[in-house]
Amino acid sequence: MKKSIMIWVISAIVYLGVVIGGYSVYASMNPKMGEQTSHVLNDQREKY
Amino acid sequence: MSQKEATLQISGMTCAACATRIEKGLKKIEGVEDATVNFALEKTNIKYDPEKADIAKFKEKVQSLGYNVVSDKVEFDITGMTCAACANKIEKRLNKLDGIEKATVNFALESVLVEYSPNQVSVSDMKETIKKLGYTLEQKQEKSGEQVDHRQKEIEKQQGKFLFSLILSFPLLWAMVSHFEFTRFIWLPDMFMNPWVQLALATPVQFIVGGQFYVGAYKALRNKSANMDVLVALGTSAAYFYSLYLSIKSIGSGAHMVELYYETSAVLITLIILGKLFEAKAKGRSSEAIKKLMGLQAKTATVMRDGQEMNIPIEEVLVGDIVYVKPGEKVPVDGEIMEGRSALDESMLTGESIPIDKTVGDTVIGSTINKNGFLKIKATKVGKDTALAQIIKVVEEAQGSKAPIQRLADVISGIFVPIVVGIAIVTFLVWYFFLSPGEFAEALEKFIAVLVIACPCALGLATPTSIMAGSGRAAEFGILFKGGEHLEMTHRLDTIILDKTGTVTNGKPSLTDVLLTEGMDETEFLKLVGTAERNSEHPLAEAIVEGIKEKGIELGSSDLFEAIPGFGIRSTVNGKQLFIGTRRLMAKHHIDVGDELSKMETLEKQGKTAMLVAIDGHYAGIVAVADTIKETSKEAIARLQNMGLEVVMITGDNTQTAKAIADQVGIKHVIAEVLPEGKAEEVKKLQQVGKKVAMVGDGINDAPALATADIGMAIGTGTDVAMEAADITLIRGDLMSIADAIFMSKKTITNIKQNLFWALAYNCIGIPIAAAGFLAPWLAGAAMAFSSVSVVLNALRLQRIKLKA
Repeated sequence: MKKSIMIWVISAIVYLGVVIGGYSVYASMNPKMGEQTSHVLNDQREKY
Repeated sequence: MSQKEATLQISGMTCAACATRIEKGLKKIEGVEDATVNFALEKTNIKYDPEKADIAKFKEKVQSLGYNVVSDKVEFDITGMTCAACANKIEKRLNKLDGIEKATVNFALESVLVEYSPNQVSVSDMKETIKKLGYTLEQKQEKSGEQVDHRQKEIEKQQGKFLFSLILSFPLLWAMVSHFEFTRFIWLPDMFMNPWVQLALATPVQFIVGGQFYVGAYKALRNKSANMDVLVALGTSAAYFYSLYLSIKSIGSGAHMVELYYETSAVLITLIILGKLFEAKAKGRSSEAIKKLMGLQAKTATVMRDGQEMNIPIEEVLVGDIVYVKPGEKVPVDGEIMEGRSALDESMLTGESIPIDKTVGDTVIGSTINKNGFLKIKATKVGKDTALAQIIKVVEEAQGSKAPIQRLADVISGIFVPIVVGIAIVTFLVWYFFLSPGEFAEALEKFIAVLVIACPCALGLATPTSIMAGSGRAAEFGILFKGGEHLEMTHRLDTIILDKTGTVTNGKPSLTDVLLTEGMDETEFLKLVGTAERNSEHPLAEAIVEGIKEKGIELGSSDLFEAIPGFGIRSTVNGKQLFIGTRRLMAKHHIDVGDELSKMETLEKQGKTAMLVAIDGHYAGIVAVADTIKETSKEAIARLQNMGLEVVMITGDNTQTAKAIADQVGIKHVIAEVLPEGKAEEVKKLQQVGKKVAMVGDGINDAPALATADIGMAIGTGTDVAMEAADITLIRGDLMSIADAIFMSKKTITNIKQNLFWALAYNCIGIPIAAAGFLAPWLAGAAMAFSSVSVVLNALRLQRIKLKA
């Protein structure tokens, strides 16, 4: 892969990592947000 | 008033509307007579008055419209400078050359940096010019960054952006896919449904990757026009900013699962970038013919200089150099064989697969392959004068030209975007007020879908890509169309006028018949005739001598020779007196020919020129010569007739001879005894009765007729005169190329029509579907991205067409 393309790919991965990491840190401080779900689970949760 | 032409490479165009805008802008410059922009080739061709306009002005104009003119840079070391005045002189001279944008000489470093347009001036032109001033330019080994193909750089940049966009859009797409009823079971990390995470992922895609659409849209709107960028920027911005509004609104409301459209904007941008990437790659392939032709050129040549054999770069070969070509090597330049005999493979230029035997005195074309013999060649044409360079020039010009059929596409793409924006607004209003009253999100979705489904890209690419592929493919078979208009016109032809000599026939008489009186020995007879005729310079005598030599008969020398103009010759060979010539010559010398005149008449009816031979006062026989018919003429004419074309033969010869030749090749309509200037009149007569006429000739004495005809086809080996005079040059001297040219034209025009149909139909069908709400925005984006790719791929089918050659 060419260097210029590599730079774009690495930038995207790093940025995605930062977003996911940032959210995880925020979610760990707010336990209600840390759950993983699907739409089905979410629908069930909303029913209750 | 003098007129000049300039070709500039442009970057930054995104659709046909950009090309139209540049064209309009350039035409507004004082002194510009015409300007055409080829979107597919990314080139503009400008005809201008050099006293009123110059390249700098064009560059400025193109830049002011928001695009760039790509120029190459080259750096030379200069030798021979002694003072600053030398530097000044070199700089001035280089700056005066056409195609040089800026030349800056650094006296201290003894170097010069030149910015130039490679389409107009070559490195060897610069070297040659400065050499005349007494200095030497040596190109520096390292090329500047800008010399790397800008297209390749652009493709790499778009590849990078696409991957960046894909990585960040993937979580958004994941969240979107799991929204569907049938995919709701898919596990989805909670974070990807968070509006702020979605915002964080969509923002770089919207503004870093999609920034190019905002820039393009701004440039277009600043110039009071609209292009594809406007549609993409509007559509994706609507989705992004509406989602942003909803995200902000959700703060404090506690809603976690608000209906957002970040994925719409991000996925749209990703898909459009992917489409552009495919388009750029496919566009590159459509100009493959030129790359192939350029690749044919030999890189080095072995020449004899100062008594030494040396291997030098091809650019340094000069006219008059003696070049050595070993078996298996490429002939480096055009030239004439001085020594040696070999078969040359000319298939790369003519499409003719059988190697052609060549010997001393024959001309050879640069880039052909020497198959088996060693050749010593005298260079007659080098650099841009070689047949290959001229072929490349003609093909490039044809590929860059516009066919009249493109006007429709130009008109539509010019007004397309404002109309689409109008339709999108109407769609939004109808949905918001009537179909789903008060449902802003739903109306917005339809608005976005309409904006992105409609793109004038496919429309802009429909014609130029087909012209590029079609003319390129034809060039591979030795058929050179001078422009798109000729490629288009050729398919309308219904009448083909063939010049006889050199077109239907080989244009070179040869010995065809030898008739002897009883008891005469053929070898002895031919030896006497050949020896007598070898002193004559008449073309018919040359044909007789050549024919006799081919039979392996050795000729002697004559004791006496006398040419009797209009009658024939008188000669004495080995003590025998010979008369060779017409009936009148025999009558004049009281030679009894008896019943043999009937044989002579039969030969003449067959289109042959017969000469009576008398030895020592007695009739001895007849020798006849005729211009031989080309091997493929009959088959080619039958093919033209089967295509529904009327084939006419035109000649200055007498009716009897003309008819004899016409009968042999199957032509029914003959126009004989026509002077060269009368040929154009005959073409006009046919045009006046509504015929679309092609004139096929050798391009020199047929020039007026070639120019008068709807299409002039020159049969030749790509020489300057032939190429200048005709609309199409058929490099192979074979009439099969005429049918191939018409076939190629028909295929190309059909391809263009298919492209235009699908490009228009795609929009005509796509817009109502999107407005009716049957198309999700991301699906509309994908369809739009692939519409232009499909048009280019369809055009590339032309590159696989098989011709008879």
